[in-house]
Amino acid sequence: MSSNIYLSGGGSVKDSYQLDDLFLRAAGEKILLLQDMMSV
Amino acid sequence: MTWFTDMISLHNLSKRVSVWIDIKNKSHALNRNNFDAIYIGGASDTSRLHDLLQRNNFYPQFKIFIKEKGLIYGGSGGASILGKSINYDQIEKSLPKINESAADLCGNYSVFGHLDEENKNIIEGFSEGDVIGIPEGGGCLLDTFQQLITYIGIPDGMIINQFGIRILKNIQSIQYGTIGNNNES
Repeated sequence: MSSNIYLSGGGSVKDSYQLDDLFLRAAGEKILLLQDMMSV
Repeated sequence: MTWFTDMISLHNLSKRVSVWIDIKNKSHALNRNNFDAIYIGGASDTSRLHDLLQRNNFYPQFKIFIKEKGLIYGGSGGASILGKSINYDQIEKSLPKINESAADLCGNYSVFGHLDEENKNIIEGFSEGDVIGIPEGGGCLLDTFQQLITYIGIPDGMIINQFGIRILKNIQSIQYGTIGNNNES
């Protein structure tokens, strides 16, 4: 399996721990975080 | 950004993280030379997030990024904008529907997060087409090349299309391109 899209239903960091772990271990080194864009 | 680096540390990993807050005129830099993966967090206003990404030409770049074997993570509203339409979110919030597609990276499916007993009737109505419903604590991994969806999480998820409703169980994988038809595997 080589998943390329990861979808979280939301909740806390604890809720999404397993999904986050799978994503982070599959991702390479360079990660782009898109966050707080609506504050600009 | 601290929460994100803290979250990475929880997994005993080290990554090079770039954060974009102002995305104006940046779509050209969103490519595999610069990044291996993209993480899109939630937003209180999904339609505004959608508008920002669409207006700044990010959706076509997401498609190219995936085609070139990059990974994209969407959480909550960030997951919704990766689907076909954000209109199930709009219905839940009693907001006007949005005519144009979102990133449309999940087959023909929209994505609806925070699924629970109170709001599941919104997606069961199937008024906006095929949809993947994911509760808090649940997650979906899609292999868009093999059209394979794998569900993880103890609260069940749901996948709904013209053929009906399928409940998604923990560590269950389904070929989402063939759900409900005679070729389903």
